[in-house]
Amino acid sequence: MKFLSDFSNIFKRYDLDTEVKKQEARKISDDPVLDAIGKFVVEGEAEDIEAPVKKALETKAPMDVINDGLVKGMNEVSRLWDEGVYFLPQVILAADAMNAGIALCEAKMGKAMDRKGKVVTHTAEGDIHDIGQVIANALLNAGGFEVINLGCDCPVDTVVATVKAEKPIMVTGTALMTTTMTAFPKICHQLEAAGIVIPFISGGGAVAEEWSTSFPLSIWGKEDGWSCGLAEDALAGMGWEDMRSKWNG
Amino acid sequence: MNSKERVLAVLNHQKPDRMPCFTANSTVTYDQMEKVGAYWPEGHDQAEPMAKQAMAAYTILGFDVVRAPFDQMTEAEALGAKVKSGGEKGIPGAAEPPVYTIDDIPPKELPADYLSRARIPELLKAITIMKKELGDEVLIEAGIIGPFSIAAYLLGVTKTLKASLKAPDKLLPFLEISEKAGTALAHALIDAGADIIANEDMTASPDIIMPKSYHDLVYQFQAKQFEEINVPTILHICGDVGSIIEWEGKSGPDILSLEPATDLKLAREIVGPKPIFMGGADAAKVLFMKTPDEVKAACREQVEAGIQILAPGCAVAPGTPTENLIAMVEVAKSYTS
Amino acid sequence: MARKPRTEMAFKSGDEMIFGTAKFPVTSKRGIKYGGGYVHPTVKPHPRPGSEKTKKTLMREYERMNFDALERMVVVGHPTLVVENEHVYQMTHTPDWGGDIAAQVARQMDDMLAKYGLKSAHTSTIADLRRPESVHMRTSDYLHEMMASFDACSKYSDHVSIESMGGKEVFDYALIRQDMAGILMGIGYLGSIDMEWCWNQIVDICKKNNCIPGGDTNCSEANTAMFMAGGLVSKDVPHVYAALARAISAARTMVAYECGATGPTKDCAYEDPIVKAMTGVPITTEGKTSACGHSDLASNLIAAVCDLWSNEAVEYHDMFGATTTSVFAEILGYDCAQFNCSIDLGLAKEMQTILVNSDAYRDSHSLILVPDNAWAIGNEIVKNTSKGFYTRARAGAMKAGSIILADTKFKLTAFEKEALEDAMKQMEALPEDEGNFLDMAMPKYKKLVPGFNPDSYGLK
Repeated sequence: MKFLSDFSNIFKRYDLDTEVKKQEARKISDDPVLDAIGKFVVEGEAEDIEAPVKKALETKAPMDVINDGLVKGMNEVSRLWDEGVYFLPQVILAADAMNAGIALCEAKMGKAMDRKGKVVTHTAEGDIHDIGQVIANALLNAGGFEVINLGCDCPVDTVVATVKAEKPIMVTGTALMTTTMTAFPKICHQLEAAGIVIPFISGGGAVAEEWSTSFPLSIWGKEDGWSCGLAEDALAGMGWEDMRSKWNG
Repeated sequence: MNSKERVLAVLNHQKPDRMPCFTANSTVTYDQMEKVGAYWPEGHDQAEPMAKQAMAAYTILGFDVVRAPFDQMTEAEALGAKVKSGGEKGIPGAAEPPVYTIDDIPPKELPADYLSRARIPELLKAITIMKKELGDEVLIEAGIIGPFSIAAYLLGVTKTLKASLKAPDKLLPFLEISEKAGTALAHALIDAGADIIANEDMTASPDIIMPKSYHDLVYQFQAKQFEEINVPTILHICGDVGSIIEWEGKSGPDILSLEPATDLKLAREIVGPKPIFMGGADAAKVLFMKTPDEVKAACREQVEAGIQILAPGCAVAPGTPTENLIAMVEVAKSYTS
Repeated sequence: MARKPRTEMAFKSGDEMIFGTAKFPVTSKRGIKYGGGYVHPTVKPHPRPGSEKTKKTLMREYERMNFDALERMVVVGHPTLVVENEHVYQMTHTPDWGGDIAAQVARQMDDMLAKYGLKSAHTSTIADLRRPESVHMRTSDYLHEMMASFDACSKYSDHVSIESMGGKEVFDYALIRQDMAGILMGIGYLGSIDMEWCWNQIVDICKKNNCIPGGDTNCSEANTAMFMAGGLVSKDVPHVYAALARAISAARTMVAYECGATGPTKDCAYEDPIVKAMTGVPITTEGKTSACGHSDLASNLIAAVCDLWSNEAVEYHDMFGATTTSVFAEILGYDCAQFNCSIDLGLAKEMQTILVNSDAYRDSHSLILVPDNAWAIGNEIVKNTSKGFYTRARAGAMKAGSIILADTKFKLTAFEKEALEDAMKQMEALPEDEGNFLDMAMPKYKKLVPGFNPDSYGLK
């Protein structure tokens, strides 16, 4: 029997098309070295990435290597994560690879890269589940923000003191346990009392929208994927009340 | 039927007089602590207050099973992990830095004095007290921690996740010793009087690791563990476990404890008729934060979807209002057969 | 009548097969020759819920919906029509209901022949009331009701059929676990045993009442797999499992024809292209005109070797044009007019090429039903017939799997490929010998499947 060689006018294999679209990392760059850098970020290879980064730095400006290779790779990771292709371990490894690359670029510049603004992130006191925060850090980093990472199990006073000293554009808190999230309103009240009015993003497994929006400064951060969008709004000077009405409710 | 008969009926796939209500996780709240006059942090490391707090689930809430302990560090601490107290309000957690790095090789066998280390002796004593006080009326449940979560406490969560992708072979010896730690604790708990063993493996959730990692790294150890425990068992893994439930079921627990995020109908199709489904209202977003009426509605929805034992979806938040937990018991009482 | 195992292919190649022509044509009471050169429409109306409350309301419903379809043939000029009535529960449970409805439609058909010369025929499809997990397949009252219903209906209908349920308890357990041994056990072994037992009785009843013993379908299992596999982007059950279950079901469904059934076959058997290749009986298939009941991914392709062309049961309702049964009968008739034109123009093979190309590479399930592939699978089945029900079913499934893997034009998603390779590995690991297989499978499924009762199949 005669068979067509091309069925594209007859039917469309949505199953194959969507699988390929979802599963495959997209090309990062037309430049082969930058593409390799991006690919190592996507694959989370913190050691293998060093050689192509060093090679790229021979001919390219460090900021270009960061923006056109490392950050683009991380953006691709965040897409794969949104699509449900990547899980947390891959994102953590990718962030490690990106940071290894950024460190090389910064060494070449002789200074830390210029950032859009500072974001203080922490996981609530008593909570050792900092997974969500690790991802947020990676995405904010990739988005060009300077992340002041207070890590997990971080006391209220440390957060407040850090904000006073660093003057960030935004603070985030992550809590996976209902026992620990009660630290967030305390932080917000203390910040307000000190006259510091900046957006505070409440996120993590235990944190619900209704509760997050029940105390001043707080905006509910539904998922890590929101991190950069929220930070961009804060950078543009949007107040916490406007941000809350934009992102929540 | 009393609570004990009711739960036994469900475990034997017979008809209970009504649906039972109990959980695979901690039941303690600040309110119950006040009512029974036993508090944290003592409830985490002293047998008497621990037993009192556990028994409040039956005496105050009307749950059909009582359960200890309330934190997840028992085995890891006995294996050398440093623990940070949760004070009066919280539960003990892992302190930084973790006791091992991924390049270390942990011991192949448990230390000879494993069962007399850290808080294990007090936990065993608490179970014996519970059995003596309530053993005729309710079953006594004791909790162990799943191998992947213990390993994550020994290595640090982030390091463990990285290793699950990059060096799964290096994780295996940690999973082996963690499995032994849980199983040995389970045997001791049963000797002390436990009728049911609940296995919490929070870190093995598909919210945290890849379903493939669950299959390749966790499943075999859980299956081995359940094989070696000769009393009814519960497996609790947080989040939407649709992608791993086939293997959860195959690992052999009698009861699967599920959060509302999991599609129960699909889960039932996958695991077949045998495992009993336990679950109910979301512990944080509903039980902790909403009203009794909303709790009831959420519970009914889950029962209609196929839940056979009503339970908080995960550990009860200590700030949860007592009336919300009682509302849940009332829903269970309304499902008579 | 004793089963006569089929050990040779009726058709010599896939290429020899074409719609409208069977090796062994069958002629109905009013003179429709199935497989005798042309394709005939089969419409399948279904009563509205509630109409089954009393015998009177149900008979009235059937009278209207069957007549509407017959009348529409006259209105638009279609020369033949088969009406199939799939029994609702009450029609089999109370055998005289089904029998009286069959008598009623026979009178209508006689009238239409006398009045207009319309040749029509009727199929009664008896409901298999036995749920294997809850009743005994051989001794329950349901079984006696079914056989009484065959007796009542075969006095009036041109042909009788059934969708038998054997092995469903084991199959249901196995499918969702992607357990090939259980699928082979459920469909290939238990299904075949139950069919042999039922069909020997059905054929005897038909002989007594001078009725054509039509056929059977694996609706309850292979179609379940197909529905669960769903559309292109659905991932609940891999599509390749539906394809493998289909190949296995061909070995099972053939048992009816080995026991003396002659076709026209029961329409929802997507395994029928394979059955036709093996047995040469006239087959009924349903495709795009089944969208009222369910989707499939082989809607045109499945017509490539059909002798009767049908729809999935359509509930009786008003549409803008007329009632649903009129509308579907008209569409089916026009489809047949198109097939028959191509035959008389000498363009049948070209037409077939178009039908096959439309869907062959849409899905793995479609691919295995391409005439050449269907023939190749059938060939593996009949070659292994002497080795027993299980062994021939496994051989058919392995062939289907290797066809899918070997076709360079057909692309599998990673998910499907992994599932198929796993299924093939499972099957390769199974014993070829039926006795050895049963030594493993009987205790296994006795233990694992609640309600599996070997005695239902005459087994220990």
